[in-house]
Amino acid sequence: MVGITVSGLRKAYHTGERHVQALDGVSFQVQGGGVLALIGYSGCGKTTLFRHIAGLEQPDGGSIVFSGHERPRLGMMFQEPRLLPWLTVRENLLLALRRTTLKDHGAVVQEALVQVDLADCGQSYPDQLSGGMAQRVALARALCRQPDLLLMDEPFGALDALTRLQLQAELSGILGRRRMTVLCITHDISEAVTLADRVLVMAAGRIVADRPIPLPRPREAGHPEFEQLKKQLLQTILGNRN
Amino acid sequence: MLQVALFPCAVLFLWWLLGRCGLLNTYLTPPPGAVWDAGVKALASGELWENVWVSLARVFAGFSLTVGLALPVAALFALMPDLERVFKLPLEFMRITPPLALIPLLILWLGIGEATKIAIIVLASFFPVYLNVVEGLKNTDPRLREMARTIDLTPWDTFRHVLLPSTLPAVITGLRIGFGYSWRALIGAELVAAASGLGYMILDAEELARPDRIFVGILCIGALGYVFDVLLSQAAVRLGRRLHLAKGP
Repeated sequence: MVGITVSGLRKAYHTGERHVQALDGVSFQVQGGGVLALIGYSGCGKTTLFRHIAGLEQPDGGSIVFSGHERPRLGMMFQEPRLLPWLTVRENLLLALRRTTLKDHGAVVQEALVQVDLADCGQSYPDQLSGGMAQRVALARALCRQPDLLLMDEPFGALDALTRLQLQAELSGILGRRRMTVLCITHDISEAVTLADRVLVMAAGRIVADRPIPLPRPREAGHPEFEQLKKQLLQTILGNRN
Repeated sequence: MLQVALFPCAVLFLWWLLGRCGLLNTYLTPPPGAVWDAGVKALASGELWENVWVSLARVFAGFSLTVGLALPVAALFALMPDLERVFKLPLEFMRITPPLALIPLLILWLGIGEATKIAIIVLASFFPVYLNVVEGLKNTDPRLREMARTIDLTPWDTFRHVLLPSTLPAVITGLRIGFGYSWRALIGAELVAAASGLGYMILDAEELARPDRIFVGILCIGALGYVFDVLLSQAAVRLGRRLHLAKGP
């Protein structure tokens, strides 16, 4: 399983005379198989960091090194499903497998759809799905690639509270069954505590806190230790508000 | 269908009524019956068919050339903006210049044969197709392009599965507008430099003082243009349904 070492990552954006230091010397390490959550206010640099790890942007300085693989296979979930509307659910997933070395793509796709409880939706088009179902398909697309590294950028942020809780529980179950390195960006503290082994708190382009989550799975909101950890993380975030 | 036919039928009736009441100068504006008779005669003699086929053959030759030229050029320029910048000024110059203004030069260069007329059709229809395809490709949702990168699609796969379907509605709009422009430019070219075709038929009728035949030519041009536009639209709708683009990308 792939580990990640991020060292001194820097990135600035210039729009006219405005200079935004999105990443200001970010360093951290993730062990292979770990589930890391990144939380912080909007604009603190979470998504920029995500995009750099995904290889979608180049940093001004610093480095990202993957251990175990020179080029790990990525599974990615964005804030929105990003499904191709002219392809069926099944075709969307098959396209994601096109450049992989996996065998029997049809069976892999079906297995991924079963995992997200959409086994009967393979022939549906994205515009025939609800928001929650579309995001489940996006999760299936990420999982069917059997990724070394699963990257998620606020994957359930656009969903209603009930659907979000349901999907968090499903994802937590999947992560319990399939060991892979996961990096999940979220602004939902409860989601971070539910999913992660470790939570990094970001503020102003820097990592300001690194907290382990030593709770057994499955985790339930409302449990005293769960709520205690949430409270501590909230205090950390508020304490680092600019 | 009834709604579509209502207004043309009303115009036809008014035209007939004005002629019947002696309110039209029938020498300049012949009544519908005279136009019908002239049309039937031209059909029976084979003259109308011949001119229609000549005009259609020119339009399809020119428009096919446009499609073969505009689609790859647009794709190349949309994917290579630096190259587009190099050719931007001459392309804009050609886009703004009316193709009919180039007729004298084209006759000098290409002669009075088919090449001039086809060149005019290409010049008239190239830009609607080219501009729509370029805009369509540029307006492809960048988030989908990014998704394609994250699943390691090759540039060809990205083009085939993301860019092409997303651009198709714009391509179809460009083709419809381009075809209309082809048709209009052809008639212009035939009015100036031709010995056959519907444009020539109209000019010939003017010289023979036969407004009834002018009307036959005009009605044929309008009807054929409409029929082909409808066929193109229906083909587009079918293609859209097949690619599940009915609701747009």
